[in-house]
Amino acid sequence: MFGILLGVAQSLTFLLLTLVTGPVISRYGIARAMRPRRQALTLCVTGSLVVLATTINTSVLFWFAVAAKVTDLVLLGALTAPAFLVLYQPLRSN
Amino acid sequence: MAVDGVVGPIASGAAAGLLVLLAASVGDGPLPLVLLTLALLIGWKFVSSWVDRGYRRALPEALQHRRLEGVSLSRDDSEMEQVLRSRLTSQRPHEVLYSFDLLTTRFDVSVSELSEGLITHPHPEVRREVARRLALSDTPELERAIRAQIDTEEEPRVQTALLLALAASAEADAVDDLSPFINADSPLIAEAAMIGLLRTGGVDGILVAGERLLALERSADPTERVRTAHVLGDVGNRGFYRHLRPLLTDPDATVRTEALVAAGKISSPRLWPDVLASLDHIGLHRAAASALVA
Repeated sequence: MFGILLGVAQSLTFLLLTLVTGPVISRYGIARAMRPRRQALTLCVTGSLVVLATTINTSVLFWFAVAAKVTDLVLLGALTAPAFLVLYQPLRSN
Repeated sequence: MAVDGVVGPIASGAAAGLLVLLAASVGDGPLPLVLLTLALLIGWKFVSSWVDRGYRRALPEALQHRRLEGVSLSRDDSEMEQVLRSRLTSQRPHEVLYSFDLLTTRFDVSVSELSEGLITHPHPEVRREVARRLALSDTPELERAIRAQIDTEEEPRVQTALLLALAASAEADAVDDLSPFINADSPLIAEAAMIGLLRTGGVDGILVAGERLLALERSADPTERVRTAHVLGDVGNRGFYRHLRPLLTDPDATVRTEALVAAGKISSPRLWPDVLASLDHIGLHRAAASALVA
């Protein structure tokens, strides 16, 4: 199960890195590129809170936790880390 | 490196301790954990805004010095030096300039050693920066290379920097090279030639450039008098203070403003009465105050 989870996360990261990361950082900048991870995690955690408050179905809670973990892994590798690295790239003289 | 090697493990340890405390105090159900995570995410948002503001304040300084604050490099780090040297051959000018700056400021590699290959770099931005650094250093061994580049250079801003570099490296021997440029069509190039001649050209340089400078100073065209102020300011020789006096009382406000900037660079106490008089002028008081504190 863990292997599948990691495989899915890495595949999604690869796809996002190839197709989305560059255009997003170029168009919206570093600060905005770092936001989706925090926003997605907040969404997952808020969802978990709603589930806890409204139902005793632990499998729904489990899948929210899985979604939060995959989201964290994917967005960390595909957006947050590349945006962070851009901060250390050589600077233009002007 | 500090983030991965120090902050990361400390944060992981703190998180583990917090989980243990949480389990011991309020039980190990999912609700406390979810609430704690939500609180952390909200805190994350505020910390991000705070860091973003700090970054925006730090960035202009980093750009000005062409380096990033907080990056610590050891002078003994030969591997890093090799990496930086390899980036000097990059086709991206900002990579070359960043490596050039780090190698010459953090690794004590001589400007002369690196400049010989970079002065003919295909990108004008690199050539200009290398020439600018040569103008600030003592590199007589590059005299010939600079002369050769002046002959082929087409970009006026680079030509300007090269003339100043030649003046610094060849000193009085550069008088014959610089003299033809004092009447150049480009004001920047002409000013650079005069600055070079007056800075390091010795008696010959002063004779050649002085005549042209006096003509500019007495010109009826305010633009030419502004150029006089530029040259005197960039030469920075206190001995030339007398030529700034008439410009500090010039009828044209632009000329007076530039003369105040030059007075700040020269810092001759003999000019202070004229600078102080400008403090009363509403359009000049800011430039006058800057000159006094420069």
